[in-house]
Amino acid sequence: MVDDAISISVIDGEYFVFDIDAVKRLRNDHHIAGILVGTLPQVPQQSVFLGLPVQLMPEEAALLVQQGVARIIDESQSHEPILAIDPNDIDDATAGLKINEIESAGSESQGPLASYTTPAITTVDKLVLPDSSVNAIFETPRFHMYRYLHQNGYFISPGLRFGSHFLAYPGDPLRYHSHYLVRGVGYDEEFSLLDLVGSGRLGTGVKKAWMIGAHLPPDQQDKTTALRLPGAKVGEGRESSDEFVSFCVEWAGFG
Amino acid sequence: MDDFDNDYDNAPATQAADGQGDAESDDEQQDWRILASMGPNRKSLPKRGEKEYEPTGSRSDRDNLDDSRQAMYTALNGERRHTSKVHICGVWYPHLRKAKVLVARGPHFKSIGKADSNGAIWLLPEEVIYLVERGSMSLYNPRGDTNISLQCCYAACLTACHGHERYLVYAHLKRLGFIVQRAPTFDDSGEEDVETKPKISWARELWNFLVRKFIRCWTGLRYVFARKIPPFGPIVCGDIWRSYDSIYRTLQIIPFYSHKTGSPPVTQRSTTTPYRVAYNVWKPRPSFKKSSPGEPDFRVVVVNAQKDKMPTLAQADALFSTIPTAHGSGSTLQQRLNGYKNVIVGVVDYGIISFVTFGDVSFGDEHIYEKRAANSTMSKHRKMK
Repeated sequence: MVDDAISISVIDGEYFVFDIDAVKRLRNDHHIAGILVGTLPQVPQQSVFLGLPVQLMPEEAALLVQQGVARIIDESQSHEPILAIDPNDIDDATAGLKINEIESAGSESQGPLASYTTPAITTVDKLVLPDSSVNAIFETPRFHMYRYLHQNGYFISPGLRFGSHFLAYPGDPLRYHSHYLVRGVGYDEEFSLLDLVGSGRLGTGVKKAWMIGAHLPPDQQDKTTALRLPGAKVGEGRESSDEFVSFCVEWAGFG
Repeated sequence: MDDFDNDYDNAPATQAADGQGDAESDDEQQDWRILASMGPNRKSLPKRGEKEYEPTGSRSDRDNLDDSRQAMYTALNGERRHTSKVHICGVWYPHLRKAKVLVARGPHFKSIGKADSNGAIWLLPEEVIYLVERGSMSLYNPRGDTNISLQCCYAACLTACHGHERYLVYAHLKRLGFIVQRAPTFDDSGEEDVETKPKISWARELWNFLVRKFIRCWTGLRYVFARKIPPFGPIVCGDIWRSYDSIYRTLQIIPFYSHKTGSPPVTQRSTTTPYRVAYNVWKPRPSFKKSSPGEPDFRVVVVNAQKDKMPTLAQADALFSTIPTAHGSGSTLQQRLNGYKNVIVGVVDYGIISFVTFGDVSFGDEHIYEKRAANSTMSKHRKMK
């Protein structure tokens, strides 16, 4: 475990990043943007610009753990010492006095000019979950698709807006439009031709392409050299299990 | 429901001009430099900036990206701060899954919080996260010795919100200015209340069942006799037909769902369904009272795009049985699609929300032919004049 590993908080089964420095590192160094899901305190009455925390997809958390870049923190357990109290021990009066003390000590000025702040993160002893906590994610078609795109340098966001698994951006989504509506499937998984037509047309209609891809099962990897794609090069230190095939579909509008 | 969709559908005019706007109107990422340049005295809502097709590797490209990122990081690093004039201070009690408010200043309590018999105001977990996140509230642990961070607040309260997706929808609606309250069907216990009300004995149930069967047979037979439908051959025959209406009526022989007669009894009602109204939503109004909010303007269901499926008929029926019939059914297509009852479903996919409306529509009751006939006679009258 690297000491400066990025901490990803898992709360109620969802993955979050609360630390602004971690957000910067993920975006600048690992081209993972995540989705801002909090209210921005400076402009709270709108949803165009949002604030911390950043939510990550499970695939993002799993990939970062696999690469040894991040570790998963059970945030509820970590904060248990702060929050835990026996209901019989609750003493509102004493607690109220303590709170008053903290509040008057914490604000620079007193009276009507006093102001109060909330920190973004807590420095407590963190309960680090074993890396195996994300193991279940590795075997899903979604994860293989995600990793393939990520290896090829794409920024990836959830695909709900266009009814796909992911959207793939050629650069930081702050500056660039997405190119692909992406769906990861199992290699032998059948899908409806209606999906092909519907998604292909939708993708073309919004000036993107629909991408579908699958991870090659080991017994298929020798047979499909013809399908080998840039992301699936063999002999570059990658395991052969990294092989992957993907296709893009565009609406031809032919006649 | 335009209000909900504005954020996703309205492409700024600047984007439309460069030809990408229509394609990218649903892309949520924005130019944070606009936010930074607006300063504290902004009057209008921030708009999104323009985006490029792909990185070109040029210096200006990189500079633009660096500027955008810097503006975003600065905004994200902003403090959650409020002054004592609008100070809210509360204590989170994990065992109660609520926070008690010690200091309650500012306008939020017109639509947030609930007072108990001692006059103390209590906040639900989603209200706590919302207020802490926007920097309006200081939260403390029950011992009163720690000012709880945003991270700790999530760790403490999120599970009690019944899923992050529900909190996201709550906060999204609150940010847009709507008044949002938990519906009685928010959690499982609420559903039980709804269920126990019409509880009837098995004898009564059997009786009802027989009566229903009888009525169904009877209406079916009466239908056939009254319409004189022959057992074979054309349906429309052997009579003098004076209007198309009566012909169309005769042709309508397939039984259909009608909101007037109600749906067939729901045999299975899963208590774990996500398809229950989570929040009642009101448009902002100065006269709003927490104690007597009146009929909500919208009812919102929250589902998870990854985990939840489309509702089964039983789930949809159970959902609509908790919603009162809307007043009046309109004649326009839109009103017809909205149906006699409707509910808004917020679909959440790892932080991104899409809203769709589910309507309880009984198309069989909409006799389009009658309206068309009425319209044509009207136009005739007009011509005669």
